[in-house]
Amino acid sequence: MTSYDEVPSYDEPEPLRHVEHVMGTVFSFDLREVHDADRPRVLAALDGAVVGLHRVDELFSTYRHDSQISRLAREELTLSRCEPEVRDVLELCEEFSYRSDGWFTALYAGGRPDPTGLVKGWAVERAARMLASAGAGSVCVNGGGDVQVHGGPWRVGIADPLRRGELLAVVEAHGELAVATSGPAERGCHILDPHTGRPPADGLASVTVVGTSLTEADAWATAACAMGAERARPWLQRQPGAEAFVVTAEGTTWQTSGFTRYSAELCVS
Amino acid sequence: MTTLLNSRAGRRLALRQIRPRRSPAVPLVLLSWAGAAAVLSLWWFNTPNVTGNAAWLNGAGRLSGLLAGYVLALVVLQMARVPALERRVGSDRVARWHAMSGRYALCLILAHVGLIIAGYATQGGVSFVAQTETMVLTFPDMLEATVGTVTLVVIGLISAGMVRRRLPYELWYYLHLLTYAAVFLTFWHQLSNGAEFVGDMTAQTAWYVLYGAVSALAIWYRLLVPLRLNMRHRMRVEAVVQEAPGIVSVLIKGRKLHRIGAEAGQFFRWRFLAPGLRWGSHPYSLSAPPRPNLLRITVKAVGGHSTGLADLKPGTRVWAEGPYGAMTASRRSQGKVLMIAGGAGITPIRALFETLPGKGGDLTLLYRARTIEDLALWGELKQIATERDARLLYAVNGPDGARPEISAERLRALLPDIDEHDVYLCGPPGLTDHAYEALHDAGVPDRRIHHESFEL
Amino acid sequence: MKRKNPLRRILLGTAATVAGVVALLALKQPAGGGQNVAGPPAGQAPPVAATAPPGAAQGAGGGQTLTGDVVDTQYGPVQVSVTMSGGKVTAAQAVKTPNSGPRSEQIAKDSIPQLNQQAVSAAKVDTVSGATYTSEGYSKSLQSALDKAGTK
Repeated sequence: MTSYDEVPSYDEPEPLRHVEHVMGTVFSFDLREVHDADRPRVLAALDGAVVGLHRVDELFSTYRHDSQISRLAREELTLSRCEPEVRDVLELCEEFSYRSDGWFTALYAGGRPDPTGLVKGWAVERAARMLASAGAGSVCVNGGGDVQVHGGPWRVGIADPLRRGELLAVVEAHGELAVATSGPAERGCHILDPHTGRPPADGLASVTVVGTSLTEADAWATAACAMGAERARPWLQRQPGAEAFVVTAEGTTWQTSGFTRYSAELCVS
Repeated sequence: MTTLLNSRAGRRLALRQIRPRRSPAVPLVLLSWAGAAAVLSLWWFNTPNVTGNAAWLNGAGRLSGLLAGYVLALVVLQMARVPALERRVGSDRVARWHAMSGRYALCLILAHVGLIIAGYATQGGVSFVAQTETMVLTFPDMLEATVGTVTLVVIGLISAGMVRRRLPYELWYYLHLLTYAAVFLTFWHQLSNGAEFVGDMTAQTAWYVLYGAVSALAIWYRLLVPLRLNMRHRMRVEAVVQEAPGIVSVLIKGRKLHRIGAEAGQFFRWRFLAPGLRWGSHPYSLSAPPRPNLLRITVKAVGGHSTGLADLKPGTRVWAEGPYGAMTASRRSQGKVLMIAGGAGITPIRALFETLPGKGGDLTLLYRARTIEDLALWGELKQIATERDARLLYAVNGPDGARPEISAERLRALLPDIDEHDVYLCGPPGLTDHAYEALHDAGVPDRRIHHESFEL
Repeated sequence: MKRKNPLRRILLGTAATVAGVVALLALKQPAGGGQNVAGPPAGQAPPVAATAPPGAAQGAGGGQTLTGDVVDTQYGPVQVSVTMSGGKVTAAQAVKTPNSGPRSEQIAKDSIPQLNQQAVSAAKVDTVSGATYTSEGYSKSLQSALDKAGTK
């Protein structure tokens, strides 16, 4: 499970890559500009990051009967007795719910906590930060389609939700950047309008939010999906510090006015 | 009957301070035109071209919207009681500007709403009604803007002469105050939807500065300055005196009233904190020059409020805002003065009659009233005329009800050198209109006619 | 102070305002009546204005990027950057978009031409963001192709 595929060494500091299956999805690590002197530290940090992901799974998985979230839902556990990470995440969920006027929710219909919309992005952001501070010059962590990068430059493609294997746009990142995409494409219509309990009538195929924090970008992408096409556009345009690229169910694309700041050419010959 | 006369020394002091000042009305009007041009230039530089019906509608909608936002700011500014406007241009004139600008702003707003909805609907291929729904329900800040606009329309309607006269004054006044709330509500949609503002920090900043400055001025001059004035002077009713049937004088005492900054010819907006009177604020001119511890107003009982003044108890607290008004000694150039007063207009004229600098023979007062009994403060006027060697004349209706003619010929007969006089004119619109025409015909230049109308 | 006839003043004011607005709008008519891009009904994506003469940014061989002039569409100014490869447009993207409020932007974004999708290998991206995939879905995803390629 924890095998590190190392690329043979050349003169330049070589990249470290790793793939981890956890939380029901796949996390991809891509570390570059790791100098020989930092290598052991970065490797250790990578180890720690992977362990961290598994820990997040243990705490937050709603599929696990004994996770703290599930026990919280069954009221076997009070919030004050949960691990600090659980409290942090639930607090973040509440904050984002407030800031998005309820469009992002971390609750099941019955009121039980369901932070799955946020946990993945939060875990990725944490892992990426850990690796960057350990000495990796450029870090890219992709957790099931939500990406957090440091350093760079990184080219992040945005998948076409309607045509598998195709890309619609490329985000070019210099420095700390997060790209989160939400949509019904892969896991089915799991994003619901919190006011009706059903998927939004004018649903979007995918919403990609670009910002500095993946947790926030993730939450906004989810909220925008729940809003449906008409509401999402002005709302996304208004969010400070976040730009968005949206694909409608018909296949047309739309982006916030500041998105051009990040977008790069799709083809580089 | 009260008699309040200043000493000769006071008059000499007033004489020394005479400095003819012209009204800043013209530069202010030019400045507001320049502002309008600047606002329209926001559109000019943001629009590369206009092609197609939708673009014309949207363009017209944006232009009217920009102008409406600007004029609305001016409307609030005009009622902010800024001394430069109230005292130098004149409260009555500013009130007229306010009424005109308010109507203009409302028309612009309605045009803007119609044009923008039509333009967007044409552009998007949807019906007018559908577009309205979309905009009001989903565009940012549009719900608030709609509420604000409806409020402004209602306020505009009730301010129309016909409706206004039928409403009790207090009701009309408090509804009219909702304008502040309406302006606040409609402000935000301009920045979040306005094509000239979205993404343009400079334009947004300019708009914030415009509205911020107007708000600050309104808060300062309508709230903070009166607060300070009343806390400093602590005015109370000293006595109420019957001058003549239906005419009372209210003497108001306070601290350091000579520092209140009032000049003869000016007025305050008075609020008497007595049951039945405390909700209304009414303008009454000072009927005598302010003394260190006493102010006097003289009021004719014509309506609910003025009648109630006769019953004021001494010691009643008084809340005053002012001084306002531009019909003061400083408006005139050196020379002879003719004062024409009618009805309630005698009050500021009486104050001016006492202190307006002038040598013997330079001052003439013509008092127009319906009957001899209506000549308020006549005793005082006679006394002042004697003391100052001024001419005092009155004109009342004939026994058959015939009105005395005020015409150029009669004025010239009265004062052959009338065209070298400054004229102070104060009274009901009928009188002032006639008198103005007559004076004009008699050769008195416009800049020498100083007038205050009482239809505030 | 003159008593102006209020009716005359109203008429004058109205006429002046209307004339002023019409004049301003008329002055913004494009020269020669040229670059009027017929707009589609909202929701469709029309081709980029064919009248846009591309500015020169020619590189040799494939993959030359041309930045067009600012085209005045009825939604506002649009500037498009187009990448050509072998005579075909392989990518297009808006460099400058009209900045005229949520509604107009909405329509303008619909005008931006749809791209011909390219495989990730030609796009040379480092990672792909998309809706969450399951472990099984991952194996068929672009990301797995990248991960594999990176560890070769």
